[in-house]
Amino acid sequence: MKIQPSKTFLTLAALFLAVAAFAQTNTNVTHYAVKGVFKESRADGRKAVIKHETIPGYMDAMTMPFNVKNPAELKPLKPGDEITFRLSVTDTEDWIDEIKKTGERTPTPKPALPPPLNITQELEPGALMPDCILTNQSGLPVRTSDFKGRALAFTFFFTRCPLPTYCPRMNSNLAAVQKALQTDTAHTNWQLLSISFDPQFDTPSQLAAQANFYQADTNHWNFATADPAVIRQLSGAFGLMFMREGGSISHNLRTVVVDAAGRVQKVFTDNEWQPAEVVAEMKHAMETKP
Amino acid sequence: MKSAGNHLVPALIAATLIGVAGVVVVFWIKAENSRRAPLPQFSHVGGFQLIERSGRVVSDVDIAGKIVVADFFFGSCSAECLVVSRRMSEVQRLTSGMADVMLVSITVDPKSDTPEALTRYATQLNASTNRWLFLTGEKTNIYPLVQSGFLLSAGEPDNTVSTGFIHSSKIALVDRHGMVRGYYDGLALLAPGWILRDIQKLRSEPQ
Repeated sequence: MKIQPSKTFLTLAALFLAVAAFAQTNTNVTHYAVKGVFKESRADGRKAVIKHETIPGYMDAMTMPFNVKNPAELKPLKPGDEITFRLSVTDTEDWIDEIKKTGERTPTPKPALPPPLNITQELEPGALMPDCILTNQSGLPVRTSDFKGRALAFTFFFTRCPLPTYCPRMNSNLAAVQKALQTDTAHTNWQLLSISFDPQFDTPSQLAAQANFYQADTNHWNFATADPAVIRQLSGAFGLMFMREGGSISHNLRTVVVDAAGRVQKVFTDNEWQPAEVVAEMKHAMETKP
Repeated sequence: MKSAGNHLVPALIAATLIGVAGVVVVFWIKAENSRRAPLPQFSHVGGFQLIERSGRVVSDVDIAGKIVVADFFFGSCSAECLVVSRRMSEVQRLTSGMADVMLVSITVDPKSDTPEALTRYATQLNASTNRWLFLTGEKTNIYPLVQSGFLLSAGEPDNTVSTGFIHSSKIALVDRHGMVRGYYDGLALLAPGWILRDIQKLRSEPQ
């Protein structure tokens, strides 16, 4: 009578352990995606020596042999090849498979990607300002090469721009620059230019209204726009991006200072620049000799 | 006459009900089929080497073996672009805890989007530093990658605007082998849900 319950208990426990062991061996496979450099093949490709990177949660980076599930996977590899592979680990076994070559560790650098078809390189400081013709708030042509001998600062905007921190901030900053430069009567070879990338809407009369709003001294500050081809040329050269979206225009920002020799001196790529920074750049740009 | 009219009405009701039931069944079968169908294979992203917001160099090797959700943005965009980033942020939330899923946002205005600018942008979005990469680099490296790796070869309309930059509000889903498996309208409110559904499909594929 006393033996009976313990027998049942033992049977149950044995059964439980068997099930647990079965579950362990059959389902407890952990996979790790690993990167490394293939070093050599051993045991007819059944082992691979790999210098691998850290395997998070499993082991640190080291060089060691791994069991290879399918030796054929090693065939195309050469020592020094960068690879990725899958490490599978159970309680009793470990192996690797899905070995893929991702690159080579050779002294020759990888060939650069082919240049894209129509990507204009952005101009760096020192580059010549492109020569192009715009139309200003009076409907008169404005040619960028005519600004040689003067320091030039220009920014891009469109008059319907709804975001106070974008175009309106650029123009009100230029208004502050104008005010500062006007006080220095000894240096008058400076020019400001606000270029609209919305020529369909921003006719000379729209531009004149903007010039008026910012109290632009039109001897020193023009509001202008141009043919789409010219806008494309300028925006490509300075990395300005804009696209019509949902009835408005989404865009980024560029403000550029060109020196008196007609060379790009400084490109601001955000809306964080302060009028004082541009004033300082302009003073320097005015001094440049052609 | 009277009895004929009495029969007509129930007959019409019955016919309508059968019709509606038929339509429901057809839609259910369609939905079920699309749920089970494997995701298409578009193009292979290929090799790349760019710079992450921390300044670290990141290459295709760093995302190998991961499921990747990728978008293309510029941090200084004035309007709609931020919407796509918000969708990405939602994807991050929906996939939290999935260590095999990564997010990658690649700038198309690398001059503005320096690693520091990317850090500010990423912080705004509560982006995880190890699961969501913000990448910048040279335009000559980024544009071919976006054009031929992620978008063009997939037959997607090339959104390179004539001023020479790429604008796409698409989000791409890339499988563990670097193959693009899905595109989603990044402006769509429901996009994160669609992406999560397809991530689960990819996770259930045999590795």
